[in-house]
Amino acid sequence: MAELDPLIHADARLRVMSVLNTLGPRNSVSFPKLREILSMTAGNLSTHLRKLEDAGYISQTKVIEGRSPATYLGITATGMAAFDTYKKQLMELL
Amino acid sequence: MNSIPAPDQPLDPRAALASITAAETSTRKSIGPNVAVLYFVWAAAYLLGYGLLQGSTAGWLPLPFASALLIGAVILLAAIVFSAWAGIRSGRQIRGDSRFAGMAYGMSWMAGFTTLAVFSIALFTLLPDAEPETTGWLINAVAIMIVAIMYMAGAAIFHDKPMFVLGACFAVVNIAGLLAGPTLFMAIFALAGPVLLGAAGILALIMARLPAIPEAE
Repeated sequence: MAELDPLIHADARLRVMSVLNTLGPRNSVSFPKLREILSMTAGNLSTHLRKLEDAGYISQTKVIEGRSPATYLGITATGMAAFDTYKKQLMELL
Repeated sequence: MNSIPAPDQPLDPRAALASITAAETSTRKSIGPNVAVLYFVWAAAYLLGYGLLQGSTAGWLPLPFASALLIGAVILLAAIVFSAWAGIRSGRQIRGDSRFAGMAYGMSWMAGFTTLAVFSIALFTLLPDAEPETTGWLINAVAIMIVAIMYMAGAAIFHDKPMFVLGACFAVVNIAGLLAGPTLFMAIFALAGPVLLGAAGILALIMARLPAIPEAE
């Protein structure tokens, strides 16, 4: 039995990955909207996003909306594959 | 609010699965309009609109049919505006395919009903001597045809099986209403419209009743 991916197997990051995986690889969500969905503080969310981005599981896109900069987050192909593997392993444990 | 990240907590597999389910549910709720509310708004619009038309056609409401048709059109427009507002509001802060799908679907509704408005004017102009009840009946049958097709197509876009069933029911009831004639058509939709949409709203509420996301660590 392979060990569950420690990067995903932590409550906050698991929920971040679940949200982005639900949106799929062809959609992205703004940072404030993601915060709202997850009920997380900006600092806490940023920390977990950085870890996931460093692993190549998620990607960030900076855009200008109106006159304000905005950050959008989406899952990568690597992230989707990792999440899929994680879910399969989780189901095997249950 | 404390923004110091908590240390990573090891998760029990069952808790992890519950977390995934809750996050998926919250996401779906956040990126789309409240479907149940939309169904209930439309149920009310059908009850009022077709109730007025049926009352005017059957004679239990002291209102000329043309006036009932006009009030019905205003109710329809109000429901369309509400639906459009709900759709636009829910699509904010999401980029990509789902946003485009929602926008294209909303614009398809607009295109259908704009065409219907022009079709209605053309029909009244072309058939000035026809009974308003007959003209109104045909216009409403076209309106319901648009609704049925849009629900069925929407089900394909959003992978929503209850929506497909709702659209199919509207198509069947519309055919029945066309065969039944103007007076019965209004009665059928004054009852079937709110019942079908109300049932869809209740089903949407039941399907949405899943555990909420717990507060983040």
